[in-house]
Order: sequence, then C-alpha cells, then structure tokens
Amino acid sequence: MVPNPDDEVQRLLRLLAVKRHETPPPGFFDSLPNRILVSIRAGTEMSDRGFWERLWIRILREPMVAGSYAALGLGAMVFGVSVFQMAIEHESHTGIGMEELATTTPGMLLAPPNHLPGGIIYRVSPADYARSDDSYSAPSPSAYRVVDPFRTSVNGVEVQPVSLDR
Amino acid sequence: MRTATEPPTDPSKALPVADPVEPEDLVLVRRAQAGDLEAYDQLVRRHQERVYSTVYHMTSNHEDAADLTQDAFIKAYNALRGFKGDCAFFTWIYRIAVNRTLNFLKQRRNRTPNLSLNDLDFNAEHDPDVLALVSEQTPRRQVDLGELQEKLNGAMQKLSEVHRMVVVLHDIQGLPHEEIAAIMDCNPGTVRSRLFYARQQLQAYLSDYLK
Repeated sequence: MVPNPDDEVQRLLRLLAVKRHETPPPGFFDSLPNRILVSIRAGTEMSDRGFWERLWIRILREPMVAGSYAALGLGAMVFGVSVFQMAIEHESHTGIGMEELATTTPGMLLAPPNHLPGGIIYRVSPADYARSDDSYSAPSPSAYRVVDPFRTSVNGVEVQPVSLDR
Repeated sequence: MRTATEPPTDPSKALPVADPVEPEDLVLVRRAQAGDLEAYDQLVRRHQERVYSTVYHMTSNHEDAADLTQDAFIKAYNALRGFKGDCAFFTWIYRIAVNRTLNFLKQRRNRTPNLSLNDLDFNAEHDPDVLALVSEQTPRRQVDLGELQEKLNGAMQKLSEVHRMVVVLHDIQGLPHEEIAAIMDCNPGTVRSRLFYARQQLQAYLSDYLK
C-alpha cells in the first residue's frame, strides 16, 4: 500500500513536536534579562567616555588586549633600537650615513663572477639584472653599489668589503 | 480549514504568535527609545522565550543560543532609535535574531556542529502526539525520547540554514508563512517551497521514525 504523503507530513509534524518540549536550564529566563541589561548599561557608560578612557578600561578588563598592546609596543621599541644601532655601525664602517642608508632600497645581491674586479658584492638594479639573461654581463658602473660591506662570501665566492659607491 | 501541511493546531503546543497591532509593545518601545531601560526589560521578558527557542532550534546548542539571544537583544536596543513601528516589534527583533543566527551558522559551517541539547520538560512524556510516536516504536519511553531528540536534532542540522529556519519558524514555532516571509525578507511563495523541500529532506532523514 502506498503511504499517503499527508499522513507522512502529519507524522513528521508530531515528531517535530518533541522539540517544543526542549527547555533551557531552570532559571535561565530569569537571569537572561538581567545579563542583557547589565551589558546595555555597560555599553552606554562606555560610549559616554572619551577614547583614551575607553581604551584604558578595556585594557583593565581584558588582559589579552593589554598583553597585545604591550607586545606591540615592545616589538616596535626593539625594532627601532636595532635599526638605529645598525645605522650607527654602518656609518662607522662605511661612511654611509643614516640618511643615505634610509634611502637605500632593497635590491639584488650578486656574488660577482670572475670578470668583475675585486670580488666585491654589488647591488645591481633589477633592470640591469634582467638584461643579463643566462650569462652574466656586467652592468654599467653607475649601477654598482655596496650592499653589505661585512660579508666575506656569497654562495661560496669570496668577496671583499668596500666602502665606496661605484 | 487546516490543511495537511499546517502544523498541529493545538494552541497550547505552538508558541503564541504576537498580535500584529501589539499596542503594549509599541508603548514600551517608545519608552525604551526615550532611554527607559525598565521598559526595554519588559520587552525582553516578553519576547525572550520565542527568540531563544528559535535560535536554539537553529543551533541545537544551548550556550550558542544563549549568547546569540543576548547579542540580538543588545543589538536591537542599540538600533532601537531606527525602529519606526512599521512592523511589529516582535517581527523586528526576530529579524535581528534570525540574521545574527544565520551569520553565526555560516561561520560555523566548516566545523562539525557541537550539539548541546536542552532537557525535555515533564510534559513531553504526556504529550499525546509524542506518546503515539514513541509507544509505536518501543515501550521504553524515557530512553527512546532522548534518542529521538538526538536523531531529530541531528536531522535538523543536516538541513541548510534557510530550510532549517522555515521548519523552525513554521512547524515548531507555528508562525504563518507571511510572518516568516517578513522575518526572512523573502516572499511567502519562497517560504512554502522551502518548507516543502525541507520536510521532504527530514522525512528521508527520519524515515525510521515515520514508518
């Protein structure tokens, strides 16, 4: 006998009636409005305060936020000190000042092939490097620039530090 | 006349549907808009059970439902100045809760749903509809009511969010198609077609209990 679809729907609806009897823990609906009002009051109080006051309250209330801000500040300080120290050391070895260092853009490090004089680490502009294809052709001298005067070898090739732009 | 596709009509079973006029709600809303938190407290107490139940049946998780219900009422309070009264407050708060729940479920989609089911109340054992089902399956009612509850929630979680939502709002909460359409921002025809498809899916998932 083919089941009547309407009967099946009725049975399904009776089955779903079970879900109407699922109830939260006792007292839940007594406490929920209070929790909502406390949150609303806290939010209203916060919005009446200034930015720095809100930030301070948030830091006090949420240790994770405080930790994040502290880590961020510490990281920024360490980075600043290390950059400053590197710049000073660089200047003392090369004569290239902090201002010049700051304007130096990252480029390509090349261990120069034998036909480049002195085994010096040069930085070559990307355009020059692109033109070189498979076989390295020396870029124009104006593209040479000392990159890392402290390194003594690159890819196993000995290099000499120099302190002059080429 | 009630058709076969409508939920059981015993008014004690379905949650009460709000009167669309709702004069008292409007008065409370106006007072809350003026900053009266006591008025908003009354609105929360009036609607919290229906909002919570909807969210709970969507998530099958009490903790998530409690958080989402709280968020929905807080968000509604913050947006209360924008409530013009062109629909019932009940519809408006439902819409906020439904949207928050759907967003939450989208984020949860890639995770296995963690069911945290509420206990069945005392009346479940005496509900004739439930009794008829369980007694047909087995005489061990209490044990199998719990099993039935788990299967039912598992089947509900297999439905897509929008299909689950129409089942919850229509077949469990007892809302009419038009009200659901207003809440879900679609037309009543879409609600009907989603309901038809969702029931077919549920029938397939729960076939052992529907023989």
